[in-house]
Amino acid sequence: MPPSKRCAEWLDRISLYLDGELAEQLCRELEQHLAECPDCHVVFNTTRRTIELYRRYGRVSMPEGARERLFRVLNLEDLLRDESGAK
Amino acid sequence: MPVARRMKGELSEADLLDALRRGDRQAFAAVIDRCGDTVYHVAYRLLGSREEAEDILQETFLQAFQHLKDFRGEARLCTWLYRIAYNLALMRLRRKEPETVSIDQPILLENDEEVPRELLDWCCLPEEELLRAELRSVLDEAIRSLPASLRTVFLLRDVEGLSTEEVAEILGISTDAVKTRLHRARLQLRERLSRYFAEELAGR
Repeated sequence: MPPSKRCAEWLDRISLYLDGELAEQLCRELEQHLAECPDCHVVFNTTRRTIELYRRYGRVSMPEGARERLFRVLNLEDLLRDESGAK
Repeated sequence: MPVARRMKGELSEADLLDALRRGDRQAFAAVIDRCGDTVYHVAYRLLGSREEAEDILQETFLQAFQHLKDFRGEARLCTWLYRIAYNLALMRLRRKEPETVSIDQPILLENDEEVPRELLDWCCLPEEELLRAELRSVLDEAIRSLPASLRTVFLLRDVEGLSTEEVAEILGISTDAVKTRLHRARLQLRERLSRYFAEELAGR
């Protein structure tokens, strides 16, 4: 069931709340609403968890081979040799 | 420890820039190690292919190092590089998908994915449980399904941890637009993950 209009207004503010950008008074009111509204509580919890999961598992790094090829393209390959010598 | 990686953690931004302008080759390597992963990440998430992400990675550093004199030091060096990478990736995306709506246009609320419908509380499932459920591919698929304009904001703010101001600078949009897009991205991703977990748990 979609949340009520009043809930929608609170849900619009959860990102600001999570980022520490919501005014103090509104934070207290939002917390109060979350304590009283199980649906919004779920949306809040799972939004926070979504962000946590992406922070932990969502990163993509350049593969080691890509780094070496980049050094070559930029004529820095001798530095790669220095690295392997320093290991 | 690799030379460039040793330098990465030690040099201040100003010292690094001086070294680059002197043509110090280890400084070039240090910049790659400082900013390269995020450059690659931006390109990969926009273009969806490792080969193309690597092309953009190379083009970004070639272009940046050739035009160092254009960098006026108003932003962080990495921010400048991310902006170059974003613009290069965006140009390529538009060539590939000319029908893609301008990434800078306001997003119309044509789909209602931001209205929460799935209210299963999966927030507190143990991590092993989440991982067992092929979490990474689910996360990848969900982020891929976002419009490019929301996807980039989300990955730079929430995954890479850049500030709202930095993301606004990279994308050339206002900080308010960054905040709005971030919120929409989070809600859409939450909805997709919720749908997935609801099916996953119902199937047991």
